[in-house]
Amino acid sequence: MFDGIAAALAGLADPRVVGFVALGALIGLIAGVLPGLGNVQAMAVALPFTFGMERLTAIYFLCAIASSSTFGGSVPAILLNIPGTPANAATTIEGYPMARRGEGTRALAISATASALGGLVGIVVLIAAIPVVQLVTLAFGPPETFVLVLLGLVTIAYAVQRNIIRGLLTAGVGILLSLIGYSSVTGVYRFSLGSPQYLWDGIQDVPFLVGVFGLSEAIRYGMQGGVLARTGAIAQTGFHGTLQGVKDVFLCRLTFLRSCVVGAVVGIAPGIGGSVSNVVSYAMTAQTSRDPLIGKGSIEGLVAAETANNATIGGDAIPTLAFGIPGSAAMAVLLGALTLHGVAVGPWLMKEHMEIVWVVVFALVAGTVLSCLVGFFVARWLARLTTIPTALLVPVIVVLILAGSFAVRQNFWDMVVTVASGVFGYLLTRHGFSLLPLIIGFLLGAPAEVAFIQSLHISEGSPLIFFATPLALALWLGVLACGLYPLLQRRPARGTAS
Amino acid sequence: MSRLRDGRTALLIFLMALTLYVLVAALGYGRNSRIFPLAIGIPTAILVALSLSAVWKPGLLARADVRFGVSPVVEEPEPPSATESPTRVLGMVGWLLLPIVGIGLVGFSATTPLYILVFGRLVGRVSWKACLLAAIVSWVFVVGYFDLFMKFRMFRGLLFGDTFPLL
Amino acid sequence: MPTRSLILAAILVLTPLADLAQAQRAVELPRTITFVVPFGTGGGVDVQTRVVARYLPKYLSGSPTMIVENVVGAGGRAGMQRVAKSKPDGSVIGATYTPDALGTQAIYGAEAGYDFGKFVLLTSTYHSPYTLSVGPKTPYKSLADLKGAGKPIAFCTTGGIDMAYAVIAAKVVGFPFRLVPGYKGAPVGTAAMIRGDCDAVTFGIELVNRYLGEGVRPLAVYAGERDKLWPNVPTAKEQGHPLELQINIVYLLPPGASAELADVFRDALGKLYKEKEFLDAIRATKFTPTFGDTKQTQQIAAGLMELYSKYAKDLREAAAPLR
Repeated sequence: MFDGIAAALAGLADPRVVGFVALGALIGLIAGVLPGLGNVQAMAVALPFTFGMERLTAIYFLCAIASSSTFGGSVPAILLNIPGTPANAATTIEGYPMARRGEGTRALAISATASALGGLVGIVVLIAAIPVVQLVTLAFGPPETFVLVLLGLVTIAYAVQRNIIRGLLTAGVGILLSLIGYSSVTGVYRFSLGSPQYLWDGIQDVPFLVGVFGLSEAIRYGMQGGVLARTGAIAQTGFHGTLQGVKDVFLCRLTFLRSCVVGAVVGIAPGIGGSVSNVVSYAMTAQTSRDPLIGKGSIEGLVAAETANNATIGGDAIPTLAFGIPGSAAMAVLLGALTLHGVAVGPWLMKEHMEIVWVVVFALVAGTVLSCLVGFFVARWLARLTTIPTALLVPVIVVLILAGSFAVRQNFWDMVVTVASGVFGYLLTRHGFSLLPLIIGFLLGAPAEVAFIQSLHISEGSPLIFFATPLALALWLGVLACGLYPLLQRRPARGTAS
Repeated sequence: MSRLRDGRTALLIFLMALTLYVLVAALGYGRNSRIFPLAIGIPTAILVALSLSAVWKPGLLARADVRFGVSPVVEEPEPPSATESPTRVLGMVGWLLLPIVGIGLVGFSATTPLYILVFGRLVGRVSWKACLLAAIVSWVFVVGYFDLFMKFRMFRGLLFGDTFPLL
Repeated sequence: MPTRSLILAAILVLTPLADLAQAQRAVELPRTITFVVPFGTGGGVDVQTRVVARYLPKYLSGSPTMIVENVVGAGGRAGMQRVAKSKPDGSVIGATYTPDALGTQAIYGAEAGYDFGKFVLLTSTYHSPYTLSVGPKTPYKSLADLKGAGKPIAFCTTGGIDMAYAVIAAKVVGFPFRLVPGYKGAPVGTAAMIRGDCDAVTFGIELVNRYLGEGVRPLAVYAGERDKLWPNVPTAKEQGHPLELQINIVYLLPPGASAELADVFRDALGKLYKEKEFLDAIRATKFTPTFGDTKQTQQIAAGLMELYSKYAKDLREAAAPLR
């Protein structure tokens, strides 16, 4: 297991490698900050530039990009209520209210600290899993994935706590929207709304999320005018705000640890990434938290969201390195890079190229830490964005969102979807519907269906397959715990009409 | 009639139409393709119907709705202020559609600075200097970062030879 | 006289080069040429095409910049449509799997948005046979065992070429089968088989080769003769079922590209696939750099069209219960 560490570390002693790591972290950070872009696009663009690089240098560079964009995405999520990447959707719920009351610096520092520490824990999980990485990867089949996704869907039970009917209705709509498109498990193109091709791949995550969150807020800002920070000034400016933010994370130790577990477990299941861990961890925390500020700028909620999405990164690398199965889209690009540089990916990677594994580990650590350090130092400057007049912010946000949405697959209609989602998101929130159940449903609906149908194919129709392994049973316990907790914790009360 | 014109009612009608579309379409698919849509769509349709009924009979929803505790993730919305009147909302939606039309016709490169200048001056009455600065910075990002550095080949516009992809 | 021989040799060597240079000059190539790949970054087509894009420019006059653009969507149709709609001036070259492009057209007809027959085929590469392999928990040792299994053989599939080939092979060999679709890529499907989700997979030889250490057992190679990679694994033909199923990457120009333009690229690709440094670079990516000229490429395409046509009914029947 420790073969190759020396070779991997030797790379970090080379100033050129360190330079590329720093450059990669910066590219990933900027890509994360710009709504619609993320580590996948940044890595894909950087890939050709790695041709002339030595193999280990190329991997350091690309992994640094992979790990730094998630924190970058929290910046617009906190300051502008626009998730920079899908993995920052839930960050907006607590981070943005904090920014509006002038605590943007503190929120960014919380995000940077939680991201750095969460990312490190995720990587520690990766290291710890190395001896059993193939067993761990094989443990997650379609039945286990289904129960895991169900666990995520059950967190809607918390998210709808205040208004069951409206909440479940929105979640249902989110799930139905996720089913649009070609289903790889049934081979049928469904709910095409008359479109012969555009909706084949369904409604894309990025255009939908940046529209629902970002453009809906742009509509609101445009009408309200003024500046974003209600106090008109930034409270806790300077390094004090940053330091307070760092302390806040250490005060939420339990939340932090739970979020690390959620992030790591979600990361290991292939195909389910940071966007899911972000919302699920947040919803679970909101379920158990006694913080009266939950939903209105709670530190605990923000810690939960930003820890989990970074802890996922280490988990994503597990199936990637164990079996050549990309744990996320970013890992798929990394696999391509490894192949281009002559490294056969698959089960023998860990047997023959342990130094590559250690390079991935160190590069993920370096990228996470570097991007968060940048975040610490620029947090107070970035927070000043909330004092810019919305009349200038709105058109800039609109243009950047549309550019990011278009950049995903260079398809003009994605921008139309973004605008439509923005209007939809605005109307929902205006009339008292929450976006959180919509997003949970949208992110988890399709994976739940695929895993469910695949499981029934494997078992030739027997539902017992969902209870056949210890992992599945353990996950069912989690489902029951998450589902019943809100019922047991508080007594139901009849309310007035919603 | 005024209840029908209420924004919330219109939204619920839209959600009902969407759900019914999914249900009707699902009935035409094979077994595996319709399980999930029906399992989710039917309860969703019932919930939308309940919400719609509450427009005329508010008491109906009060009897049906059950709340658990007071920890507010979903908080009651503030009633829309005068700044968010339907007319102003439509106006803002128009401002969102404008860049789409602009990008479609002349591409990102021209639309980006023009849109920011026009919005900043007409809507916000921001100074020319500030508008120009914002326009230039955004243009540098879109053209410099997205197009030249990241090589995303941003849409150039119908008038400059680009075409829309198939729908 | 030696001098005369030398001059004659020089004329013989230089004339074709001069002709080529003249042909290339007659065909003005753009300064930037884009390879459009209808799949995501990191896959077989993408990786190999990136290596081609790096080495090919020196064989083209003006040494144009060559880049790779991944145009994903609609199961590969978006990328093919981009190529089909591009100007046939040499600025765009399509790179895709022939069976994939033809299979999509066979299923969707005009709705595919392109007509493969109208593309100008250049050359093909990566002619890799498909195989049938079974998981470590299964008892099968040959194709005959599958016939005598007494139950349908379950295949983990991605829903793409491998599914079509699994169905065709089952029909030809004559064993009952069922499909477990929806796996996102061959590595995921192979890992699923190792886990026990299914009995068998039908994927390319080079990919399955990576998993032999995990207990995967190849039963047959769908090729005319045994592969160097697996000299001990019999072909389907040796087991009584002459079936050849392969994957290959084809490079093609948009419809309407001139013959002169096509010849320029064909010549360049032909030379490229003789260059040792380039071939080593492809081998370093663990793919085998084969080369098929235009005629061979056209024959492969024609053979695939015939295959899909012959088994169209079986493919539709196999897909029906999944819906």
